[in-house]
Amino acid sequence: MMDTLLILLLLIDLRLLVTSRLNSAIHWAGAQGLLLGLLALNNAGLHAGFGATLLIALTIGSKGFVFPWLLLRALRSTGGHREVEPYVSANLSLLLGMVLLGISYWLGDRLALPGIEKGSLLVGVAFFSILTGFLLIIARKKAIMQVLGFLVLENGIYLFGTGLAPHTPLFVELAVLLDLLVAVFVMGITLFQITQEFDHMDTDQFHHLKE
Amino acid sequence: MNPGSPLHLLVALLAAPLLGGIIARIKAIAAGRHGAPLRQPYFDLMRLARKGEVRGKGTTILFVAGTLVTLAGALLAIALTPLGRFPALLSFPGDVIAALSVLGLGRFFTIVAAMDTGSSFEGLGASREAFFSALAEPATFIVFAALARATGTVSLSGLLAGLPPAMWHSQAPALFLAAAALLILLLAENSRIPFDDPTTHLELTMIHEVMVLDHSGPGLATVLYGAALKLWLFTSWLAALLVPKTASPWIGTLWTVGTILGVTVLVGITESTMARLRLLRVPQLLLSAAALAAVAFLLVL
Amino acid sequence: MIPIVIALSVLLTSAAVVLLAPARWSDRIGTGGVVLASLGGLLGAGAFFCGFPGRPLHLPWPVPLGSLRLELDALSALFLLPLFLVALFTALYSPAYLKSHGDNPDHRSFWTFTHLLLAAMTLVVLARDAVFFLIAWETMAISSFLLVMHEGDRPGTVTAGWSYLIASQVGTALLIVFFLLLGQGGTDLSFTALARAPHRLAGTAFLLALIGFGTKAGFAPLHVWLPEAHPAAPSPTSALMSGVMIKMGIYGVLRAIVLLSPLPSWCGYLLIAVGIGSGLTGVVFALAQHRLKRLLAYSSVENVGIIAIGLGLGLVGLTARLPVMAACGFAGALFHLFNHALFKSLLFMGAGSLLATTSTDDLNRLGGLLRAAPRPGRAFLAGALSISGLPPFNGFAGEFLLLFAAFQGVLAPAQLPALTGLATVASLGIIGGLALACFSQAFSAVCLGTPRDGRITPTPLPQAMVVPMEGLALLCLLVGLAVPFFSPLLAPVLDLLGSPAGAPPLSLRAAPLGAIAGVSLLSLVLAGAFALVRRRWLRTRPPCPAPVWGCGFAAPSPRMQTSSTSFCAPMVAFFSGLLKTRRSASPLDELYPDSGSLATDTPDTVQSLLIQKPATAIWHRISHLRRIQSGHMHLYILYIALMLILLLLWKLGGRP
Repeated sequence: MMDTLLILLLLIDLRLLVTSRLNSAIHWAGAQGLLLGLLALNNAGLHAGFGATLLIALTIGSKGFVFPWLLLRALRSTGGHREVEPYVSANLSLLLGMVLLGISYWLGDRLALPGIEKGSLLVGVAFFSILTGFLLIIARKKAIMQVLGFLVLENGIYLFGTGLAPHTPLFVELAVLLDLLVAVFVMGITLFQITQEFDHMDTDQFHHLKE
Repeated sequence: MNPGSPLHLLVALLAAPLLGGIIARIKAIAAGRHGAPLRQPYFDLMRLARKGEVRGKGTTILFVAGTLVTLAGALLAIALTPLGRFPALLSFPGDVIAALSVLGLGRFFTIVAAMDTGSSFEGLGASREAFFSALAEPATFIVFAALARATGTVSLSGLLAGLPPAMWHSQAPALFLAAAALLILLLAENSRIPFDDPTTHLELTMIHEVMVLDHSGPGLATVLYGAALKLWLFTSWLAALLVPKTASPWIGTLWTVGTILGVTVLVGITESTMARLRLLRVPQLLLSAAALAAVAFLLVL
Repeated sequence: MIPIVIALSVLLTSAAVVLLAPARWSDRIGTGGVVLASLGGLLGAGAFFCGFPGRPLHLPWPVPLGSLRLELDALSALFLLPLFLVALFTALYSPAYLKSHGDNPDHRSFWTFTHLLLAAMTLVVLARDAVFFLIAWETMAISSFLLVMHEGDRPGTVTAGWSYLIASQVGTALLIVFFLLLGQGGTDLSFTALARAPHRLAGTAFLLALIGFGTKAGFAPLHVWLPEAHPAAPSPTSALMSGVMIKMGIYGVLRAIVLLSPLPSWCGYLLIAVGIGSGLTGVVFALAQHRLKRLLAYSSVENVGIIAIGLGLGLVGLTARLPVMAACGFAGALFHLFNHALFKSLLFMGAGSLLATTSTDDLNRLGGLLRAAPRPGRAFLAGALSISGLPPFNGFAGEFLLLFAAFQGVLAPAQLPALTGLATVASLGIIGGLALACFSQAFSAVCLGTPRDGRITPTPLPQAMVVPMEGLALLCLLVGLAVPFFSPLLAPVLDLLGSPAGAPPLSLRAAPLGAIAGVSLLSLVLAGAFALVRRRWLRTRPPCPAPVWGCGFAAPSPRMQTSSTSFCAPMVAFFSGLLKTRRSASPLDELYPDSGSLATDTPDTVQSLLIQKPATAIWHRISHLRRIQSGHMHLYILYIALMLILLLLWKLGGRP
């Protein structure tokens, strides 16, 4: 069950690398958040206290519904539903994604973390999410795609967290979640302001601000 | 030689055109029509074989040779593929490579035959076919590499016929991903939607159809039969991946044939529900198939 | 050994005789010399494989450093086979080509340099001393440079020749460092002494050897001279260079592997990476070319990459203790090397024949030559099928062995060989697919359809050019069908390359050589059987001709056929990150435009990015220094006087 969820997370990462429709990308990122919550639920198992269950519900709610809703709202107001020609094309992103997958897999095999059994896919998929997030931020021009890349990166970090769950206290989890919440709120507001000021969200043109 | 080995070749030779009939029937049902009888492809083949041929002016012997070599390639590949638990008619370590190479030989001659007509449309189709097959070939190799690592052999008879049933319990995600990749490749190599619409007649959107535009009579029958054999080949590969292995080889063979028909139904449903991809998106889908297969490989590593 | 020494002397004497004899005899003497020498060489190499190794030759050497040692071992003999085979066929082909192509009736310089080149290559393969090896290597480079410049009056030939010479010299410089490093400062530079170099130098030495020999072999990104030099040279020379001379680079890498073994494990992976890079670069650039000889040059880069992949697989197999992978990797590389010599020279001869009949090799202007010249066309088809690695020809067997070795890597228990095997399998798959696309369209553009440029009228081809092509095509087919017979040729070389410590020597027993030949034979037989059945079936119904469907145009013209550039356009667009193709098109903005034009040109990206740009930048910076060179004598005397005073002050200023 755990393995299947991890593989689905991996496949969603690959899908995000290829897609150029912003609408669909936001939905996939939301699905990834939901899967993360399910994974945390699976990890916690039957002996989940009230606090843990609440936290997981908050995760599912925020990552799966709130953040996508915020971003979709921002998208609707700007009107641009497609990614402009990215720095790294979709095909090349996929190829780079495969290389990053190989690297993450190798890293995952070598990094022995307490609480995670050897041979589990967790560390590999977590690393891959982080690297995919980086690739999305670097390679895409539209600000919304970069926010999505940041979300994927945070998903990867959260995945590490679920793996280390029995060993880290509750408030670390809370801190992570809060940081994410604030970040997305701020980003959502900033996106509104940017669009209002400049009429577009193409970050490639921001270098004109240099003067 | 195992008594069941020639079975695959016989079954394929007889039943291959049926797959095209099944797909056409499903598409018709989805469109609300009754559709042609399931045996229609056989009637088409017999009708075409009785006719005379029209040759394009300016074509050489390669125009005809293309159809024959493609048929020979498909037949050899089927001879190398097992059915159910019986090993293939010809099997040796590395026959995966030989099977893909003879299919490549057929493809070379199809392209050459298309360019022989000196028409720009056939050349367009040939160019696309060459490009998409060049992208599909590494994906196919990666799928077989994943299967090779999972089973420990490099022969098709070992890879497909020898998949232990326990593998579906321990390596289920990997096999599922490999099967998904193989399904995409099946659709690509056999010119099905979403890669190519076999019923379109708009020259700018055809790939396979346009390459065989100028064949007629027995030549066209050879082309259609070769395409049917290739479809059988790929569905038998996919079916071998999906079917549970039973104790008795004969029951296993029946199961495999049933799964082949089931996969055909799946292809028919895919054709009826999906739309054809933009040609610019086709390389992306093929690369995604390769990515899925590579993920499957990493899971069996 | 003796027949080879005789062959060498025949070559050298014939070179001298060609120079001294009157010009009208040069073709006969030249061809005769090469043919005799090739037969002798083949006899010598064959005798080696039949069990008559011959003694090493050690002659007195007047130069203080180095020695004249010649020895024939398995590796040398295996390389002599394609050398003399290709020499034989190109010698038979050359006179007719030179007569029909060049304006210069004096072929003496061509034959002299060809003899020198062949003799130098033989000596490179036989040399067992570093200094002697380098002398032979330089002679090889210079004689091929002079051959490239043979048609020096054509534009671009001189630049091509110079770029080739410079690349060659850079490689030789690194080779000198390589040999000096291994020599450890001693005076004995024979190969037996070099093999005793300490193990810690193996990695650096391998790197030096890889770059030095790789410049000659044509590994990307050191390949930039290939696409210039091979089209500029006359076609028989291109055949010799592409078929044999770049393999001398591979010979060097192999000899380095033998000298330096056991190598650290990263060497194999590096070779595979270089091979994959070269293979992909070569085939992608070949797709973008519309001139046949340049396409063939890039295809040579691709095939050298494939050979490097094979060598890398062999090395990885040795370090990872996978004997089947090692054996099949090395065997595949060597077999592909031999096959490539055969079919690449066939293809270059085809290009030469093309130039002889139509005086152009622009694929966008040709067409329909299969009907005008069926025999060379069929031979060209055989070459195209061989290079695409398809049964029943010889390319199939080499690529099969390489893929088989990669699959063995996939099966390995360790992770790194398995991932490498996967990457190799995928790369070989896409390289093979793109090569198939490239050569199917090259063949179709030349031989099928109707001539796209109506002004081209093919002239008949002399028999002397057709027969060598057919001979090579037949040889390709026979080698493809007789694969198991090559096992005793490859086995001694595998012994030489070593095996993992403690394991039995590498053997090809696990490789399904017989099955490869069987599949080739079956495909031939099946296709033939279908052809017979079809002929009987249609006995009473002859086909009736009709126009081909051209979308109903009222007046179709041959220019409307799919051209080579339009065939490759989707692939070129896909790889546009690597290929910087420039398009120049005249705009068609009226309803019934009078005329239009479209031209594409693909410069070598490696050359423009890695060589041209830095070179221009450096030149720009340095040009400021040119002010020192003012042209006034007074200033130059001033410089001398100042330097003298400074030196005196420096030298004598320190003393009390």
